[in-house]
Amino acid sequence: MVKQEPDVTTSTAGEFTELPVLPQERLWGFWQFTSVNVGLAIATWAFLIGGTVALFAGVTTAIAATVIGNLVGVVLVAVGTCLPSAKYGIEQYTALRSVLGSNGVRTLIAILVPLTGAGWNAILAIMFGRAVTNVLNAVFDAGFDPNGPVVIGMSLLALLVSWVVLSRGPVSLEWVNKIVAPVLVVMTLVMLGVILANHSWSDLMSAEALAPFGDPRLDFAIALELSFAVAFAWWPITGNLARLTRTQRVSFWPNMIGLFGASVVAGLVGTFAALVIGDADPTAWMVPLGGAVLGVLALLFVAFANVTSIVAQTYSGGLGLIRAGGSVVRRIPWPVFVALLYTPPAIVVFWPATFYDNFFKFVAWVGMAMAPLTAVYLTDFFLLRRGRLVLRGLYEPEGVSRYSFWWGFNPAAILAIAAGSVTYFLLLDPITFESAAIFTYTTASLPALLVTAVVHTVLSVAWVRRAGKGGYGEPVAGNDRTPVEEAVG
Amino acid sequence: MDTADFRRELDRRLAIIEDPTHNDPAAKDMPRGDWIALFAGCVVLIGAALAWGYPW
Repeated sequence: MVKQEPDVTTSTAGEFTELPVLPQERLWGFWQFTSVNVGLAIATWAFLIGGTVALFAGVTTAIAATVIGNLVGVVLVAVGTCLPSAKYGIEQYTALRSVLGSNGVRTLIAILVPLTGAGWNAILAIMFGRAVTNVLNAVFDAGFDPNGPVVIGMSLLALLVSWVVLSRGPVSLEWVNKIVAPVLVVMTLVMLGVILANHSWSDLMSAEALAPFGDPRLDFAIALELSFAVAFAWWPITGNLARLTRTQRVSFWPNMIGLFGASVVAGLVGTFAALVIGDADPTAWMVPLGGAVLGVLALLFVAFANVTSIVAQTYSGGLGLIRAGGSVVRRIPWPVFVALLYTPPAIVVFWPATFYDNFFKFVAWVGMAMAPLTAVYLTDFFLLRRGRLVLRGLYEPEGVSRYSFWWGFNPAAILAIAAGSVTYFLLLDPITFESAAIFTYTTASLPALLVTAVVHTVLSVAWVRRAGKGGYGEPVAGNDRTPVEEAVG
Repeated sequence: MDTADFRRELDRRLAIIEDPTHNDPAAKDMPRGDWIALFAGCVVLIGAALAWGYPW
Protein backbone atom coordinates (compact mmCIF):
# COMPACT_ATOMS: atom_id res chain seq x y z
CA MET A 1 0.00 0.00 0.00
CA VAL A 2 1.07 3.53 -0.62
CA LYS A 3 2.26 5.62 2.27
CA GLN A 4 -0.45 8.17 2.96
CA GLU A 5 1.67 10.24 5.34
CA PRO A 6 5.18 11.04 4.14
CA ASP A 7 7.93 10.78 6.71
CA VAL A 8 9.57 14.19 7.13
CA THR A 9 12.99 12.73 7.73
CA THR A 10 12.86 10.61 4.62
CA SER A 11 10.75 12.86 2.44
CA THR A 12 12.35 11.52 -0.70
CA ALA A 13 11.75 7.93 0.32
CA GLY A 14 9.88 5.43 -1.75
CA GLU A 15 7.52 5.81 -4.62
CA PHE A 16 5.45 8.37 -2.73
CA THR A 17 7.73 11.05 -4.13
CA GLU A 18 6.62 10.44 -7.68
CA LEU A 19 2.93 10.87 -6.91
CA PRO A 20 1.21 14.26 -6.69
CA VAL A 21 0.50 15.16 -3.06
CA LEU A 22 -2.98 15.96 -1.82
CA PRO A 23 -3.71 19.00 0.42
CA GLN A 24 -3.83 16.96 3.65
CA GLU A 25 -0.35 15.57 2.87
CA ARG A 26 1.26 18.97 2.62
CA LEU A 27 3.19 19.02 5.89
CA TRP A 28 4.99 22.31 6.02
CA GLY A 29 3.79 25.77 6.97
CA PHE A 30 6.04 28.83 6.88
CA TRP A 31 8.18 28.18 9.96
CA GLN A 32 8.52 24.45 9.38
CA PHE A 33 9.79 25.01 5.84
CA THR A 34 12.03 27.81 7.12
CA SER A 35 13.54 25.39 9.62
CA VAL A 36 14.19 22.85 6.85
CA ASN A 37 15.83 25.55 4.74
CA VAL A 38 18.06 26.82 7.54
CA GLY A 39 19.06 23.22 8.30
CA LEU A 40 20.10 22.75 4.68
CA ALA A 41 21.97 26.03 4.47
CA ILE A 42 23.99 25.71 7.68
CA ALA A 43 26.20 22.80 6.66
CA THR A 44 29.96 22.48 6.77
CA TRP A 45 30.23 23.28 3.06
CA ALA A 46 29.02 26.82 3.89
CA PHE A 47 32.33 27.39 5.72
CA LEU A 48 34.24 25.91 2.81
CA ILE A 49 32.50 28.23 0.37
CA GLY A 50 33.18 31.23 2.62
CA GLY A 51 36.84 30.25 2.83
CA THR A 52 36.99 29.92 -0.95
CA VAL A 53 35.57 33.43 -1.44
CA ALA A 54 38.34 34.69 0.87
CA LEU A 55 40.89 33.48 -1.68
CA PHE A 56 39.76 36.26 -4.01
CA ALA A 57 38.04 38.88 -1.86
CA GLY A 58 38.58 40.97 1.24
CA VAL A 59 35.71 41.67 3.63
CA THR A 60 33.97 44.47 1.70
CA THR A 61 34.09 42.72 -1.65
CA ALA A 62 33.13 39.39 -0.07
CA ILE A 63 30.04 40.82 1.66
CA ALA A 64 28.81 42.56 -1.51
CA ALA A 65 29.50 39.61 -3.81
CA THR A 66 28.14 37.01 -1.41
CA VAL A 67 24.90 38.96 -0.87
CA ILE A 68 24.30 39.68 -4.57
CA GLY A 69 25.29 36.24 -5.86
CA ASN A 70 23.25 34.31 -3.32
CA LEU A 71 20.27 36.65 -3.66
CA VAL A 72 20.04 36.41 -7.43
CA GLY A 73 20.77 32.68 -7.50
CA VAL A 74 18.38 31.70 -4.72
CA VAL A 75 15.54 33.88 -6.09
CA LEU A 76 15.85 32.33 -9.57
CA VAL A 77 16.14 28.80 -8.22
CA ALA A 78 13.28 29.19 -5.73
CA VAL A 79 10.94 30.85 -8.24
CA GLY A 80 11.83 28.32 -10.92
CA THR A 81 11.53 25.14 -8.88
CA CYS A 82 9.49 25.80 -5.73
CA LEU A 83 6.47 27.54 -7.25
CA PRO A 84 5.68 24.84 -9.87
CA SER A 85 6.29 22.01 -7.40
CA ALA A 86 4.14 23.63 -4.71
CA LYS A 87 1.40 24.51 -7.19
CA TYR A 88 0.98 20.98 -8.50
CA GLY A 89 2.35 19.01 -5.53
CA ILE A 90 4.94 17.23 -7.65
CA GLU A 91 8.68 16.63 -7.63
CA GLN A 92 10.56 18.95 -9.97
CA TYR A 93 11.83 15.93 -11.92
CA THR A 94 8.22 14.99 -12.64
CA ALA A 95 7.48 18.55 -13.82
CA LEU A 96 10.69 18.54 -15.86
CA ARG A 97 9.21 15.91 -18.17
CA SER A 98 7.39 18.85 -19.77
CA VAL A 99 10.75 20.52 -20.41
CA LEU A 100 13.25 17.77 -21.23
CA GLY A 101 10.95 14.88 -22.14
CA SER A 102 10.58 11.68 -20.10
CA ASN A 103 13.86 10.14 -21.29
CA GLY A 104 15.55 13.52 -21.09
CA VAL A 105 14.80 13.65 -17.36
CA ARG A 106 16.06 10.08 -16.89
CA THR A 107 19.28 10.99 -18.68
CA LEU A 108 19.68 14.17 -16.63
CA ILE A 109 19.34 12.25 -13.36
CA ALA A 110 21.68 9.51 -14.59
CA ILE A 111 24.37 12.11 -15.32
CA LEU A 112 23.72 14.69 -12.60
CA VAL A 113 23.39 12.46 -9.54
CA PRO A 114 26.60 10.40 -9.90
CA LEU A 115 28.73 13.37 -10.96
CA THR A 116 27.59 15.92 -8.40
CA GLY A 117 27.36 13.21 -5.74
CA ALA A 118 30.93 12.12 -6.43
CA GLY A 119 32.16 15.71 -6.29
CA TRP A 120 30.40 16.79 -3.09
CA ASN A 121 31.04 13.45 -1.35
CA ALA A 122 34.75 13.59 -2.17
CA ILE A 123 34.97 17.17 -0.86
CA LEU A 124 33.15 16.26 2.37
CA ALA A 125 35.19 13.07 2.84
CA ILE A 126 38.49 14.93 2.41
CA MET A 127 37.22 17.59 4.83
CA PHE A 128 36.52 14.76 7.30
CA GLY A 129 40.06 13.46 6.69
CA ARG A 130 41.60 16.89 7.22
CA ALA A 131 39.51 17.45 10.38
CA VAL A 132 40.58 14.16 11.97
CA THR A 133 44.21 14.71 10.94
CA ASN A 134 44.17 18.16 12.51
CA VAL A 135 42.74 16.63 15.70
CA LEU A 136 45.62 14.12 15.76
CA ASN A 137 48.10 16.91 15.14
CA ALA A 138 46.59 19.09 17.88
CA VAL A 139 46.29 16.33 20.50
CA PHE A 140 49.43 14.29 19.80
CA ASP A 141 51.53 16.93 18.07
CA ALA A 142 51.78 14.38 15.26
CA GLY A 143 52.71 16.67 12.38
CA PHE A 144 50.78 14.70 9.75
CA ASP A 145 50.82 16.11 6.21
CA PRO A 146 47.44 17.73 5.26
CA ASN A 147 47.67 15.91 1.91
CA GLY A 148 49.35 12.76 3.14
CA PRO A 149 48.31 9.14 3.58
CA VAL A 150 46.57 9.80 6.92
CA VAL A 151 44.17 12.24 5.25
CA ILE A 152 43.55 9.77 2.42
CA GLY A 153 42.95 6.95 4.89
CA MET A 154 40.58 9.06 6.98
CA SER A 155 38.72 10.21 3.85
CA LEU A 156 38.21 6.56 2.88
CA LEU A 157 37.08 5.88 6.45
CA ALA A 158 34.45 8.63 6.11
CA LEU A 159 33.08 6.96 2.99
CA LEU A 160 33.20 3.52 4.63
CA VAL A 161 31.30 4.75 7.70
CA SER A 162 28.78 6.46 5.41
CA TRP A 163 28.34 3.23 3.47
CA VAL A 164 27.78 1.22 6.67
CA VAL A 165 25.22 3.74 7.94
CA LEU A 166 23.36 4.06 4.65
CA SER A 167 23.38 0.30 3.99
CA ARG A 168 21.27 -0.08 7.12
CA GLY A 169 18.79 2.61 6.07
CA PRO A 170 18.45 6.37 6.12
CA VAL A 171 18.38 6.69 9.93
CA SER A 172 21.08 9.35 9.98
CA LEU A 173 18.94 11.77 7.96
CA GLU A 174 17.08 12.58 11.16
CA TRP A 175 20.33 13.70 12.79
CA VAL A 176 20.81 16.42 10.24
CA ASN A 177 17.82 18.52 11.23
CA LYS A 178 17.65 17.51 14.89
CA ILE A 179 21.29 17.62 15.96
CA VAL A 180 23.74 18.68 13.29
CA ALA A 181 22.05 21.84 12.02
CA PRO A 182 21.36 23.39 15.48
CA VAL A 183 24.92 22.66 16.66
CA LEU A 184 26.32 24.16 13.46
CA VAL A 185 24.20 27.29 14.03
CA VAL A 186 25.73 27.60 17.52
CA MET A 187 29.22 26.92 16.15
CA THR A 188 28.76 29.63 13.50
CA LEU A 189 27.68 32.19 16.09
CA VAL A 190 30.53 31.22 18.45
CA MET A 191 33.03 31.55 15.60
CA LEU A 192 31.63 34.99 14.74
CA GLY A 193 31.80 36.02 18.41
CA VAL A 194 35.40 34.85 18.78
CA ILE A 195 36.47 36.59 15.57
CA LEU A 196 34.81 39.89 16.51
CA ALA A 197 36.13 39.67 20.09
CA ASN A 198 39.72 39.28 18.92
CA HIS A 199 39.71 41.49 15.83
CA SER A 200 38.35 44.99 15.43
CA TRP A 201 36.09 45.77 12.47
CA SER A 202 38.85 47.91 10.96
CA ASP A 203 41.26 44.94 11.28
CA LEU A 204 38.77 42.79 9.40
CA MET A 205 38.18 45.43 6.72
CA SER A 206 41.89 45.74 6.09
CA ALA A 207 42.51 41.98 5.83
CA GLU A 208 43.84 41.09 2.38
CA ALA A 209 42.39 38.36 0.18
CA LEU A 210 44.46 35.16 0.37
CA ALA A 211 45.22 34.58 -3.33
CA PRO A 212 43.64 37.34 -5.44
CA PHE A 213 44.17 37.82 -9.16
CA GLY A 214 45.17 41.40 -8.40
CA ASP A 215 42.52 43.18 -10.49
CA PRO A 216 39.86 44.26 -7.94
CA ARG A 217 37.02 44.07 -10.48
CA LEU A 218 38.05 40.62 -11.65
CA ASP A 219 38.31 39.46 -8.04
CA PHE A 220 34.82 40.85 -7.39
CA ALA A 221 33.47 39.05 -10.47
CA ILE A 222 35.07 35.76 -9.38
CA ALA A 223 33.64 36.07 -5.86
CA LEU A 224 30.25 36.94 -7.38
CA GLU A 225 30.43 34.00 -9.80
CA LEU A 226 31.25 31.56 -6.99
CA SER A 227 28.28 32.91 -5.02
CA PHE A 228 25.98 32.50 -8.04
CA ALA A 229 27.20 28.94 -8.47
CA VAL A 230 26.66 27.87 -4.86
CA ALA A 231 23.14 29.32 -4.99
CA PHE A 232 22.37 27.53 -8.28
CA ALA A 233 23.72 24.35 -6.66
CA TRP A 234 20.44 24.14 -4.68
CA TRP A 235 18.53 23.56 -7.94
CA PRO A 236 18.41 19.72 -7.82
CA ILE A 237 16.60 19.56 -4.47
CA THR A 238 14.52 22.67 -3.78
CA GLY A 239 11.42 21.75 -5.79
CA ASN A 240 11.29 18.28 -4.31
CA LEU A 241 11.00 19.79 -0.84
CA ALA A 242 8.61 22.61 -1.79
CA ARG A 243 5.92 20.17 -2.96
CA LEU A 244 5.18 19.51 0.72
CA THR A 245 4.37 23.17 1.50
CA ARG A 246 0.78 24.35 1.90
CA THR A 247 0.80 27.43 -0.35
CA GLN A 248 3.03 28.91 -3.02
CA ARG A 249 3.93 31.81 -0.71
CA VAL A 250 5.10 29.32 1.90
CA SER A 251 7.07 27.46 -0.76
CA PHE A 252 9.00 30.60 -1.70
CA TRP A 253 9.75 33.00 1.17
CA PRO A 254 11.44 30.52 3.57
CA ASN A 255 14.14 30.10 0.91
CA MET A 256 15.02 33.75 1.42
CA ILE A 257 15.56 33.18 5.15
CA GLY A 258 17.33 29.81 4.87
CA LEU A 259 19.06 29.27 1.55
CA PHE A 260 19.79 33.00 1.18
CA GLY A 261 20.04 34.52 4.68
CA ALA A 262 21.55 31.62 6.61
CA SER A 263 23.91 30.71 3.76
CA VAL A 264 25.17 34.28 3.54
CA VAL A 265 25.76 34.49 7.31
CA ALA A 266 27.54 31.12 7.52
CA GLY A 267 29.54 31.80 4.37
CA LEU A 268 30.66 35.22 5.55
CA VAL A 269 31.67 33.87 8.96
CA GLY A 270 33.79 31.41 6.99
CA THR A 271 35.24 34.25 4.93
CA PHE A 272 36.09 36.28 8.05
CA ALA A 273 37.73 33.23 9.67
CA ALA A 274 39.77 32.48 6.56
CA LEU A 275 40.93 36.10 6.29
CA VAL A 276 42.02 36.46 9.93
CA ILE A 277 43.70 33.03 10.08
CA GLY A 278 45.11 33.17 6.57
CA ASP A 279 43.88 29.74 5.45
CA ALA A 280 40.86 28.88 3.27
CA ASP A 281 40.48 25.40 4.80
CA PRO A 282 37.82 25.37 7.58
CA THR A 283 39.56 22.48 9.33
CA ALA A 284 42.54 24.80 9.92
CA TRP A 285 40.42 27.41 11.76
CA MET A 286 38.96 25.58 14.72
CA VAL A 287 42.03 25.15 16.95
CA PRO A 288 43.35 28.72 16.41
CA LEU A 289 39.87 30.15 17.03
CA GLY A 290 38.65 27.94 19.87
CA GLY A 291 41.86 26.77 21.53
CA ALA A 292 42.93 23.14 21.85
CA VAL A 293 39.90 21.71 23.69
CA LEU A 294 37.06 23.60 21.96
CA GLY A 295 38.90 23.43 18.65
CA VAL A 296 39.29 19.65 18.79
CA LEU A 297 35.63 19.24 19.78
CA ALA A 298 34.60 21.48 16.90
CA LEU A 299 36.76 19.49 14.46
CA LEU A 300 35.30 16.19 15.65
CA PHE A 301 31.83 17.63 15.17
CA VAL A 302 32.72 18.86 11.68
CA ALA A 303 33.85 15.32 10.87
CA PHE A 304 30.59 13.87 12.22
CA ALA A 305 28.50 16.48 10.39
CA ASN A 306 30.23 15.64 7.12
CA VAL A 307 29.32 11.97 7.43
CA THR A 308 25.64 12.87 7.95
CA SER A 309 25.78 15.18 4.90
CA ILE A 310 27.38 12.44 2.77
CA VAL A 311 24.70 9.96 3.83
CA ALA A 312 21.81 12.40 3.34
CA GLN A 313 22.75 13.50 -0.15
CA THR A 314 23.68 10.00 -1.30
CA TYR A 315 20.34 8.66 -0.08
CA SER A 316 18.39 11.40 -1.84
CA GLY A 317 20.38 11.10 -5.07
CA GLY A 318 20.32 7.30 -4.95
CA LEU A 319 16.54 7.19 -4.82
CA GLY A 320 16.41 9.52 -7.81
CA LEU A 321 18.71 7.20 -9.72
CA ILE A 322 16.65 4.16 -8.83
CA ARG A 323 13.46 5.81 -10.08
CA ALA A 324 15.20 6.95 -13.26
CA GLY A 325 16.94 3.63 -13.85
CA GLY A 326 13.83 1.51 -13.44
CA SER A 327 13.85 -2.25 -13.05
CA VAL A 328 17.51 -2.72 -14.04
CA VAL A 329 18.75 -0.58 -11.15
CA ARG A 330 16.09 -1.89 -8.76
CA ARG A 331 17.54 -5.41 -9.13
CA ILE A 332 20.87 -4.28 -7.61
CA PRO A 333 20.94 -4.98 -3.85
CA TRP A 334 20.81 -1.72 -1.87
CA PRO A 335 24.24 -2.13 -0.13
CA VAL A 336 25.89 -2.88 -3.50
CA PHE A 337 24.12 0.09 -5.10
CA VAL A 338 25.33 2.41 -2.31
CA ALA A 339 28.86 1.02 -2.66
CA LEU A 340 28.75 1.82 -6.39
CA LEU A 341 27.74 5.40 -5.60
CA TYR A 342 30.66 5.73 -3.18
CA THR A 343 33.22 4.29 -5.59
CA PRO A 344 33.95 7.47 -7.64
CA PRO A 345 34.59 9.67 -4.55
CA ALA A 346 36.68 6.85 -3.06
CA ILE A 347 38.96 7.17 -6.09
CA VAL A 348 39.02 10.98 -6.05
CA VAL A 349 40.11 11.23 -2.38
CA PHE A 350 43.51 9.77 -3.31
CA TRP A 351 44.33 13.27 -4.62
CA PRO A 352 43.20 15.48 -1.70
CA ALA A 353 45.23 18.54 -2.65
CA THR A 354 44.19 18.44 -6.31
CA PHE A 355 40.50 18.28 -5.50
CA TYR A 356 39.93 19.87 -2.08
CA ASP A 357 42.31 22.77 -2.59
CA ASN A 358 40.74 23.43 -6.00
CA PHE A 359 37.23 23.50 -4.60
CA PHE A 360 36.52 26.76 -6.45
CA LYS A 361 37.00 24.96 -9.78
CA PHE A 362 34.47 22.32 -8.75
CA VAL A 363 32.05 25.13 -7.82
CA ALA A 364 32.54 26.64 -11.29
CA TRP A 365 31.67 23.26 -12.88
CA VAL A 366 28.51 23.20 -10.76
CA GLY A 367 27.62 26.70 -11.98
CA MET A 368 28.23 25.71 -15.59
CA ALA A 369 25.69 22.89 -15.25
CA MET A 370 23.12 24.46 -12.95
CA ALA A 371 22.74 27.97 -14.40
CA PRO A 372 21.46 26.65 -17.78
CA LEU A 373 19.20 24.11 -16.03
CA THR A 374 17.71 26.89 -13.93
CA ALA A 375 17.14 29.03 -17.02
CA VAL A 376 15.56 26.34 -19.19
CA TYR A 377 13.03 25.33 -16.53
CA LEU A 378 12.16 28.96 -15.67
CA THR A 379 11.70 29.89 -19.33
CA ASP A 380 9.66 26.83 -20.17
CA PHE A 381 7.27 27.01 -17.23
CA PHE A 382 6.74 30.76 -16.84
CA LEU A 383 7.23 32.09 -20.37
CA LEU A 384 6.28 29.29 -22.77
CA ARG A 385 3.59 27.61 -20.64
CA ARG A 386 2.43 30.70 -18.71
CA GLY A 387 2.78 28.83 -15.43
CA ARG A 388 0.30 26.12 -16.41
CA LEU A 389 0.76 22.35 -16.61
CA VAL A 390 -1.71 19.54 -17.16
CA LEU A 391 -0.93 17.15 -14.35
CA ARG A 392 -2.17 13.97 -16.02
CA GLY A 393 0.05 14.62 -19.03
CA LEU A 394 3.14 14.45 -16.85
CA TYR A 395 2.35 10.84 -15.97
CA GLU A 396 1.19 9.58 -19.35
CA PRO A 397 3.64 7.64 -21.52
CA GLU A 398 5.57 9.09 -24.44
CA GLY A 399 3.34 9.25 -27.50
CA VAL A 400 0.18 9.57 -25.42
CA SER A 401 1.13 12.52 -23.23
CA ARG A 402 0.81 16.07 -24.52
CA TYR A 403 4.38 16.43 -23.23
CA SER A 404 5.73 14.01 -25.85
CA PHE A 405 8.74 15.02 -27.93
CA TRP A 406 11.06 12.86 -30.03
CA TRP A 407 11.83 9.48 -28.41
CA GLY A 408 11.29 11.11 -25.03
CA PHE A 409 13.84 13.87 -25.59
CA ASN A 410 13.19 17.57 -26.19
CA PRO A 411 16.08 18.64 -28.43
CA ALA A 412 15.25 22.34 -27.99
CA ALA A 413 15.85 22.19 -24.24
CA ILE A 414 18.96 20.05 -24.64
CA LEU A 415 20.47 22.40 -27.25
CA ALA A 416 19.60 25.41 -25.08
CA ILE A 417 21.34 23.88 -22.05
CA ALA A 418 24.35 23.04 -24.20
CA ALA A 419 24.45 26.61 -25.57
CA GLY A 420 24.30 28.00 -22.03
CA SER A 421 27.09 25.73 -20.83
CA VAL A 422 29.30 26.61 -23.79
CA THR A 423 28.68 30.31 -23.12
CA TYR A 424 29.74 29.78 -19.52
CA PHE A 425 32.85 27.89 -20.63
CA LEU A 426 33.86 30.62 -23.06
CA LEU A 427 33.59 33.25 -20.33
CA LEU A 428 35.13 31.27 -17.46
CA ASP A 429 37.08 28.07 -18.07
CA PRO A 430 36.46 25.86 -15.01
CA ILE A 431 39.57 23.79 -15.77
CA THR A 432 42.14 26.59 -15.86
CA PHE A 433 39.99 29.31 -14.24
CA GLU A 434 41.03 31.65 -17.03
CA SER A 435 38.37 34.18 -17.96
CA ALA A 436 37.45 36.27 -20.99
CA ALA A 437 37.95 40.03 -20.71
CA ILE A 438 34.21 40.65 -20.63
CA PHE A 439 33.77 38.24 -17.69
CA THR A 440 34.79 41.04 -15.32
CA TYR A 441 31.59 42.89 -16.23
CA THR A 442 29.14 40.10 -17.05
CA THR A 443 30.22 37.09 -14.94
CA ALA A 444 29.64 33.69 -16.59
CA SER A 445 26.35 32.56 -15.04
CA LEU A 446 24.26 35.56 -16.11
CA PRO A 447 25.11 35.32 -19.84
CA ALA A 448 24.68 31.53 -19.63
CA LEU A 449 21.20 32.06 -18.18
CA LEU A 450 20.32 34.55 -20.90
CA VAL A 451 21.63 32.46 -23.80
CA THR A 452 19.83 29.36 -22.53
CA ALA A 453 16.54 31.25 -22.17
CA VAL A 454 16.75 32.82 -25.65
CA VAL A 455 17.79 29.60 -27.42
CA HIS A 456 15.09 27.56 -25.68
CA THR A 457 12.39 30.11 -26.48
CA VAL A 458 13.35 30.50 -30.14
CA LEU A 459 13.72 26.75 -30.78
CA SER A 460 10.53 25.89 -28.92
CA VAL A 461 8.42 28.44 -30.79
CA ALA A 462 10.01 27.99 -34.22
CA TRP A 463 10.53 24.23 -34.18
CA VAL A 464 8.96 22.19 -31.37
CA ARG A 465 5.62 23.98 -31.32
CA ARG A 466 5.32 23.92 -35.13
CA ALA A 467 6.03 20.20 -35.08
CA GLY A 468 3.09 19.73 -32.74
CA LYS A 469 5.30 18.40 -29.95
CA GLY A 470 5.53 19.18 -26.25
CA GLY A 471 1.98 20.50 -25.87
CA TYR A 472 3.08 24.09 -26.45
CA GLY A 473 0.34 24.70 -28.97
CA GLU A 474 -2.42 22.97 -27.03
CA PRO A 475 -4.83 25.17 -25.11
CA VAL A 476 -4.79 24.75 -21.36
CA ALA A 477 -6.76 27.80 -20.31
CA GLY A 478 -9.94 29.71 -21.03
CA ASN A 479 -12.85 27.93 -22.74
CA ASP A 480 -10.71 24.96 -23.68
CA ARG A 481 -9.50 24.42 -20.14
CA THR A 482 -9.43 20.80 -19.13
CA PRO A 483 -10.83 19.60 -15.80
CA VAL A 484 -7.27 19.35 -14.49
CA GLU A 485 -6.71 23.01 -15.21
CA GLU A 486 -9.97 23.99 -13.54
CA ALA A 487 -8.96 22.03 -10.50
CA VAL A 488 -5.36 23.00 -9.97
CA GLY A 489 -4.55 25.77 -12.40
CA MET B 1 4.73 -0.65 -4.45
CA ASP B 2 4.69 -2.44 -7.78
CA THR B 3 3.70 -0.80 -11.05
CA ALA B 4 0.02 -1.80 -10.81
CA ASP B 5 -0.28 -0.41 -7.28
CA PHE B 6 1.46 2.77 -8.34
CA ARG B 7 -0.85 3.23 -11.33
CA ARG B 8 -3.94 2.60 -9.17
CA GLU B 9 -2.81 5.12 -6.55
CA LEU B 10 -1.89 7.66 -9.24
CA ASP B 11 -5.33 7.32 -10.86
CA ARG B 12 -7.01 7.77 -7.47
CA ARG B 13 -5.04 10.95 -6.80
CA LEU B 14 -5.56 12.39 -10.28
CA ALA B 15 -9.29 11.73 -9.99
CA ILE B 16 -9.37 13.71 -6.73
CA ILE B 17 -7.29 16.56 -8.15
CA GLU B 18 -9.29 16.73 -11.41
CA ASP B 19 -12.60 16.86 -9.53
CA PRO B 20 -13.98 20.41 -10.12
CA THR B 21 -14.90 20.67 -6.44
CA HIS B 22 -11.35 19.89 -5.33
CA ASN B 23 -9.80 22.85 -3.55
CA ASP B 24 -6.06 23.04 -2.88
CA PRO B 25 -4.83 26.40 -1.50
CA ALA B 26 -1.43 25.71 -3.07
CA ALA B 27 -2.97 25.99 -6.54
CA LYS B 28 -3.46 29.73 -5.99
CA ASP B 29 -0.58 31.69 -7.51
CA MET B 30 1.63 33.86 -5.33
CA PRO B 31 -0.05 37.28 -4.88
CA ARG B 32 1.11 40.20 -7.01
CA GLY B 33 2.15 42.07 -3.87
CA ASP B 34 4.69 39.37 -3.09
CA TRP B 35 6.23 39.75 -6.53
CA ILE B 36 6.44 43.52 -6.14
CA ALA B 37 8.02 43.16 -2.68
CA LEU B 38 10.48 40.62 -4.02
CA PHE B 39 11.47 42.79 -6.96
CA ALA B 40 11.79 45.94 -4.84
CA GLY B 41 13.76 44.09 -2.16
CA CYS B 42 16.18 42.68 -4.73
CA VAL B 43 16.73 46.08 -6.38
CA VAL B 44 17.39 47.78 -3.02
CA LEU B 45 19.69 45.05 -1.69
CA ILE B 46 21.68 44.65 -4.91
CA GLY B 47 21.94 48.41 -5.33
CA ALA B 48 23.16 48.89 -1.76
CA ALA B 49 25.66 46.03 -2.02
CA LEU B 50 27.05 47.36 -5.31
CA ALA B 51 27.25 50.93 -4.03
CA TRP B 52 29.06 49.84 -0.88
CA GLY B 53 31.18 46.90 -1.98
CA TYR B 54 31.90 47.11 -5.74
CA PRO B 55 35.47 48.27 -6.45
CA TRP B 56 34.37 51.28 -8.50
